[in-house]
Amino acid sequence: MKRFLFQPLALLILPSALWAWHMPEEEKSSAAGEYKALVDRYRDAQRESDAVFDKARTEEERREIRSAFARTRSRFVGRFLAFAEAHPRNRETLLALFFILHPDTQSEASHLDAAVRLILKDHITSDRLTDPPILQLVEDAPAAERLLRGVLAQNPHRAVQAQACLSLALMLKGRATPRPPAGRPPERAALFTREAEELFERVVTEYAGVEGAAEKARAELFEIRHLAVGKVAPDIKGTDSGGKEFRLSAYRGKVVLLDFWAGW
Amino acid sequence: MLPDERSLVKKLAGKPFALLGVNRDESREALKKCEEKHGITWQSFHDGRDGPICKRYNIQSMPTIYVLDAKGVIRYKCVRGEALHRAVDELLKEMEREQN
Repeated sequence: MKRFLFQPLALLILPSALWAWHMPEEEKSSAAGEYKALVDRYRDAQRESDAVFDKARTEEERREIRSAFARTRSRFVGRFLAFAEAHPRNRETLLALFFILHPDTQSEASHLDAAVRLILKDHITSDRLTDPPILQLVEDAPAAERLLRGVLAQNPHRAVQAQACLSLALMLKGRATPRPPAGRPPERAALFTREAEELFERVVTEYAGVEGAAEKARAELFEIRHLAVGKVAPDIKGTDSGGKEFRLSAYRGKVVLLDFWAGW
Repeated sequence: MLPDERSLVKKLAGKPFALLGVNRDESREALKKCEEKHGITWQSFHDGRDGPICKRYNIQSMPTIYVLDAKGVIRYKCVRGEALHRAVDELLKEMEREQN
């Protein structure tokens, strides 16, 4: 009986084991070496630019250094993409794609599109899409939305699905959030909020076992249902700097500005 | 520090308006020091780093602002500067209209 139970698992493991077995050792290590060299060259370029930046005297010089480094970074993004394309099955591939999709890299839309295409083509069923946290960090963009929807629909791993579902919901919530300073809701906010709510609900019901996901989704659902414009603000009871107790509901009859702040 | 808050409190002294803070400083002493240093006259709930109030209100970033009408209903979020002044004025006028 036990043997039968283990068979499906063996089938799942087999393809990747075969691939690793077939790939010559030198090819694996050469890809790793290539990736490391690329990262090292990028870090050098960054350090060099930082050193010049520190010596700059005027705002104009600093602006020029920043835009020069943005061009350098864009060239590196191209190289990381070429690496990911040439080595679709290496440990470093997802790290290269993670670098391209990371908000700090500020990749151009065409590079984001290409990176997402590669993930959807070569890594759509990978269980490693949560580590590095690719799905967690993507910023709102058409490519990022394609990535999350594609992964949610096609990835077989529950932890990955849960992260895609949560990230997609947060992206849609972000689209519906009023923008300061005017605080007006953006166009089609209600539509985005409705889908975000469905996706958060899905995280709570379908992925209750995935660590942290349901708790986060529950907090988001509370915000959508009880902290939206038009809802009575949930009461707050607490103490002030002198230890004196007071509550929000005691201020009915006044216009109240509730302000979350810190001195740091 | 807190220029919108300061000018509103000054401008609306004597009106049916209250500014309430939810403060995320680590300790009550830190909040107290900050209030003294910056001459903050309004009351704040001390909530700590990841306190229960911020958790319940799902606070991700600061400053986060809610403007409530006299019935306690959330009417505006994420307003700053001029728009914040206008929002509060509008609600005060609405209140006056309802009382007459």
